[in-house]
Amino acid sequence: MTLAPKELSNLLSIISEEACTNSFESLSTHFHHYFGKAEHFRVGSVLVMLLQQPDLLPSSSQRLIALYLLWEMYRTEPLAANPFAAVFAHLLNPAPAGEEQEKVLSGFLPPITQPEKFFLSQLMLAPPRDLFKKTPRQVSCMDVGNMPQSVDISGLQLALAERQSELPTQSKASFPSILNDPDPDSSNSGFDSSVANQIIESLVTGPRPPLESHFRPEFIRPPPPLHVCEDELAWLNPTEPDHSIQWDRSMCVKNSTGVEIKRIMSKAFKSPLSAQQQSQLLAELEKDPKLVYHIGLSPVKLPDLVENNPLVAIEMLLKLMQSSQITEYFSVLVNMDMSLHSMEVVNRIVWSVWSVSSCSRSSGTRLSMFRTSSSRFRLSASSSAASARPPASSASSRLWTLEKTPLRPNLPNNTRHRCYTGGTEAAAKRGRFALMHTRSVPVHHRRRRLCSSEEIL
Amino acid sequence: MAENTEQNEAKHDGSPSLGMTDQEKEMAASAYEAFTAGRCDEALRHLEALQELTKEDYKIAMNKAVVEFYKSGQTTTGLLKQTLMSMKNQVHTSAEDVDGLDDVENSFLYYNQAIIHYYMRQFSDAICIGEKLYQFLEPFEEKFAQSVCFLLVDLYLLTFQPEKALHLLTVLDKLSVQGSNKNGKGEKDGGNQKAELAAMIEAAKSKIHQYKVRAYIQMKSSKACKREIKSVMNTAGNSAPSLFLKSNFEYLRGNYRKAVKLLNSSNIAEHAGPIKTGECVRCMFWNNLGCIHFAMGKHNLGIFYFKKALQENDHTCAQLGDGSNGQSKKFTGIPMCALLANKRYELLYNCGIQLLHIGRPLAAFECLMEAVQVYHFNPRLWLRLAECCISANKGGSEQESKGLPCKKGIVQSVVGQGYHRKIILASQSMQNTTYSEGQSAAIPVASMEFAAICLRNALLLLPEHQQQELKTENSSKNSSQSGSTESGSENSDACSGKGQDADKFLSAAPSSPLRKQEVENLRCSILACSSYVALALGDNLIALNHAEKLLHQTKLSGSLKFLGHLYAAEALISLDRISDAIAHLNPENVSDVSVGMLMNEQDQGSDKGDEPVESSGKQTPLCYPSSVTSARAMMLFNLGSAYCLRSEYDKARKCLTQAASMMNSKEIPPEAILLGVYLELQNGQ
Repeated sequence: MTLAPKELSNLLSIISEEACTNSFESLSTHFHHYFGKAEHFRVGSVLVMLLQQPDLLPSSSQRLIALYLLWEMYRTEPLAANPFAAVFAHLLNPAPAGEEQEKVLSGFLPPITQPEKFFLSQLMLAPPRDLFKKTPRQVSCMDVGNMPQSVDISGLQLALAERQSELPTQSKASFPSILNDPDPDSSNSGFDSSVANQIIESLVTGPRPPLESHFRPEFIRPPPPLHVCEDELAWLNPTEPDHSIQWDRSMCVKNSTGVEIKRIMSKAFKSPLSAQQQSQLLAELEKDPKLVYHIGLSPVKLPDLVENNPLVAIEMLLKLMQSSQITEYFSVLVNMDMSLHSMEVVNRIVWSVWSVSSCSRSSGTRLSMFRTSSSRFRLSASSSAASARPPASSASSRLWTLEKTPLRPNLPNNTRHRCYTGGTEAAAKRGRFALMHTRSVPVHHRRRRLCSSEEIL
Repeated sequence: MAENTEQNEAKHDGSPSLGMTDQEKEMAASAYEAFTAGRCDEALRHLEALQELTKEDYKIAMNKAVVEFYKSGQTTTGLLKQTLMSMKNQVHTSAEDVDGLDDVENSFLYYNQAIIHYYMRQFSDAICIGEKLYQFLEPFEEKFAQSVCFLLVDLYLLTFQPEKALHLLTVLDKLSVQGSNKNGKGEKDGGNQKAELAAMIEAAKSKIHQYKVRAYIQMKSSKACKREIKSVMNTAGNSAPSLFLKSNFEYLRGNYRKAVKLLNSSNIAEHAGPIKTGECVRCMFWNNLGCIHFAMGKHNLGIFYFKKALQENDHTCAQLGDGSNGQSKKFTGIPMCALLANKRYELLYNCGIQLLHIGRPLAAFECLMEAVQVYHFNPRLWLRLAECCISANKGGSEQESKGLPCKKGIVQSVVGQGYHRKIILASQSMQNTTYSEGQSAAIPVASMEFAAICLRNALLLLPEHQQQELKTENSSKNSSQSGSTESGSENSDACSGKGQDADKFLSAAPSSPLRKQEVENLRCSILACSSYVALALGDNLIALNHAEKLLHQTKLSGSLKFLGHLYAAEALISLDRISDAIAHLNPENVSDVSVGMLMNEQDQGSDKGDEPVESSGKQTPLCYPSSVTSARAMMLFNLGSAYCLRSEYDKARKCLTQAASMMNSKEIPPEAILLGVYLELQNGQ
């Protein structure tokens, strides 16, 4: 937006007092010689600023040049598109009260003389060609008394108003921040072109010249206060960490048993084990309670084991009862396809869990975990809870009550007591018997059992 | 304990062996014996002999690597890491299924890997392995299970997940109870061994207490903390860790003098030094003193201590030779435990925040920029960075308006003399929109553009859910009420109460995680800053958006509410919505100007000690409204400006005089005087 000092001096030479003897046409060619289209707006801004400051552009003919150049720069476009059209409109249409008003508002264009007004209105209309043959000085001395005075600028004003209404209020409220000294020292003699040029230069050139700044009501915008919080800084505590690299103590240990057991286990996933293998496996498990974690029984593999070796599966699950993964095993178990083996395993597990839980309370949580994970079996439990009847006498239903009874701990305390008054021991014995019994039940018997289970589930 | 495990192993030896000869077992046992006795060379010899007999077991190779590591004085961390890594790859290519129990076999390998990750500060990797090990904790023998738990607890605390750590600590409690039970049973083992075992259990207990204190401190639950502190003092006595912990506790309660006393009573001169323990206690000591003085509002002393801590840290690092070496050699040459000794980033973080409070935003920016490279998940740190940018950019004009007579603020310069004298009025709008042209905003310089990026990061790091809830709730109301938000905030206050009980922590490393209420306070501050920065950058819509969000927050402090209204009004004016803006500028909108945190103070105040705690809001910046009247006056000034824009000069003048009468004549901001000048000029004066 700024003019280089060189450009400014060129401009000032065009509008200087001396140049007023040239005709408008020659001024125009001078101007176009110095400035390209790209600089027009910047030059125009400077000219407007000079027009606003009567002390910097004292003579009427200089003002004429400035006005002419403002017009000339954009003469090929329609008048309303001239960015400085507002200046023309304002000058041609002084406020009616303007005559009385002595003081001129700062930043507003001072009123112009009659010849200037005439010249301007000629520019607005199609100007006669010979007008530009004249020199500014000639025009300024013209007698304009008998010339037609007013030009209809309402069209222009309308276009300008439209354009201005698009501007934000804030920018409309601004005015230039260059002020005349309200009470100049009267000692001074008046216009001095060299001083004036110096001032113009300081106003117009350089980075962020005063020309560009404007003055408008400002908002107070206090910056937000620093965020307040406690315990923001990092307090350092010595912790004396003693985590250290450890020697693997499982080196060359228990591989031997591990290998054999693993071999048996991999077989157990595929087919039923022989009696000897089974007993060897169970014996090893009995010896080392933690062995069960090392033999590759993952929840995913559990169904295979259950189908092929339900007894082994039961023992292993009982060993795994303390593991944090037991719920995963349970959920696999209750979600696998229902078969005789799987039901048997569930039966035994639930039974033994309950018998443990009756002596130690903590395992009760395991049971409830199991219950929540097995939605299907919960169903049967709730049905038994709803009926809460004493065990029936028929063989098959006794079997089922036994399957259900372990779930009773979730009943209210008093009902549980009522159910079990007399013969918990006996029921337990019978249950174990029934379980052993099923192993030798003929096929049709088993089928009946399955049917009854479907009825309930 | 060691003998105990061997006994355990001896049990297995009885079983029929296929792949393992007695000779090998004997060798393995003697190698272990030599290793525990610290005779590394002998252990190595045994292992080599063992390797000649059987090559199958990778564990021989691993133990060899372990022995060699110890032989080097634990300085070949990088090498060990590589060896373990290649072993792990071998194991996994042979047994592809990773689904669990097979890994029990390889637990020591994983554990050692986790340890190395821990010391190399790769905490998330270490946690990953640790959690996997924890899944099958039961099969492990007790001591090893305990080590796994302790490692995991430490990792959780280092990564500021105190709840997880506490959960594990209860597991550890159980483990140690089991251990002592067994101890009771195995009385026949002989008194000597029993005493040793008991001592170990005692040590573990004391450690559990210390860990618990750390967890409670992070969770800021001071009652539970008090209880644990007592047990720590009972078990660990006057060791540096326990004294530091207690001092930390007193510091959090606001008993600063007591905290200092406790710190001083710890005998840091006798501490073993960083090479042995991996910790520089002196540096921690200075740092903590800095924290205490910061909290007391003695910022100059605070910065003094932090600088001292930094010096100490640099000294330690130089001693360890850390940092000067290249990346490849970085993990060799110093003992593994000393890898954690460098606390530079924590210290820089503290230093930066201290510098910001002392009014040196540019220096603070430098420090925090370095810290944020490590702690880029901390939203509060991003806010602090933005605050640095803000105060660095407002700095100039603030000085101008404060230090120099008021007239200078209005008249920018006078050009020329005499007849041609021109007065050039200062134009604020030029300074307000500052663009640093020609460079990307992502380059970290203390500019407003960078502040905007920081604030965006901070907002993104905050949990979103609560805001969503508010948004859906407020969207229906928004149409009817844009100006007065009081009713809105009250309503949402009532309904957001239900989400309150889910007390979630938000990580804010390197300091303790943020509680829910703190997160909300932080959100308010971030929104206020965002709005301010957006205004400064000319992003009026974004500014308005942030300001409205701010005004919709439930527990908004009075001062931020005031700022929210001011910012919203200014943004609205720039958007040409003057009447909306005037609604925001109603002086009645300001009822108090306190700076946040009232809720928390009361929460904690119940069990705070006898010494009164200094109010945390006392170091408010100078530009900040010091009273409700000055805040209202500020609003009136802005209201006047808004009237000016509508050419309602009489109303504007009224506002101006009213506001001026409320203020001390020296406090009147330059903007207000400019407004007066504007009015006079409009009048033709």
